[in-house]
Amino acid sequence: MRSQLPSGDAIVLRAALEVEQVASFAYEHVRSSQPESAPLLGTLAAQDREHARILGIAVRSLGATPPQPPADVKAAEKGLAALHLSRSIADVRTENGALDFLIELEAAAEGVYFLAIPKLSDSRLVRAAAQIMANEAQHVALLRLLRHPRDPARAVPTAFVEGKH
Amino acid sequence: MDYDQILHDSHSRRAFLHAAGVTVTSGSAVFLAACGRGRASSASATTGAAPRAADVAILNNAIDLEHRAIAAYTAAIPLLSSTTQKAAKQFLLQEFAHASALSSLIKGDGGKPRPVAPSYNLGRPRDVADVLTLLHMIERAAITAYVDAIPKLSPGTLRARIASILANEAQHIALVRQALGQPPVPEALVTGSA
Repeated sequence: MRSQLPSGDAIVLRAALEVEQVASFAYEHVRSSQPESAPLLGTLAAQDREHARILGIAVRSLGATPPQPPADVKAAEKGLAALHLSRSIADVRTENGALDFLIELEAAAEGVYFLAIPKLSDSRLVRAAAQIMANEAQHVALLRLLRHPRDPARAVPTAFVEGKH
Repeated sequence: MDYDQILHDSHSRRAFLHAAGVTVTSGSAVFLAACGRGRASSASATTGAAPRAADVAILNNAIDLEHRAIAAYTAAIPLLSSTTQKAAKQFLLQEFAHASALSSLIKGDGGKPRPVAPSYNLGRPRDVADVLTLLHMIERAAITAYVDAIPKLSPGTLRARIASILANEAQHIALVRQALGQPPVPEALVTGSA
């Protein structure tokens, strides 16, 4: 009898998908109150949604069920708690507070992929995970640049991007 | 030459660049080239580790691209504005760090890191836009190579370590694109095609 348990790759991707879903929710929640940075945040949010879409297809193709995206702040906070962030969506009250929160969230996403890549067995998924991780790193750099516009060097502080893990 | 020494000592960095023959001539047309006396690395095969020839070949291709990036940033920095220059100097140090890490990984696999090439034809950038376009091209080539290489490496943490370099190169190109007035993150999956 064939096992109904999801494969190792499906488990790894499902975890990454949960982070993308929480990030997409967080961007939408934060963006509405941050008019100055809204255009960039809109681009980054759209890319996180695209990551979630691609991961959802991959998870289903491996025979697993994708998680449901958070429907409200309470559900999103639950997802964020698993990432052990120092800030929550509820803490976001200022433009800089929003950027600090998103920087930490995107760094956590980087970390999820950094840890996922050695665990994945399908080389196509390894490639996709590395490409998404690189995009998350770009998000972190641009958010840092928005936070510290006069100091672009501060946007890219380390040669080896491993994220928060 | 020891990359870690280069990374932490400005005198050693100058010596490396002199050995690499990186030359920048100011004038109406600036020819950026590394021409000269590339020497073989002093690396010798480590004993006791089983060589993984495929990994060594992939990492040596990557180190070539890092050497090219080091030559390009070194040549470009004097031509950039002060704000961009500060970031470019940081990116240069990060390219040195990548080359150093790749060198260590190659030695750890029982291989020999490829030396700095005798020359790098970097074209004839005439202004800041040309220089940024050159850096954009160099970063694109590196990203394309890393994206292609990562799934071909031996499974395990080596892939993550190289992905951490890819992610840094992706950050570089985002800021270079921004400096060029282009959308900094044009694709959700970084391919190196943009």
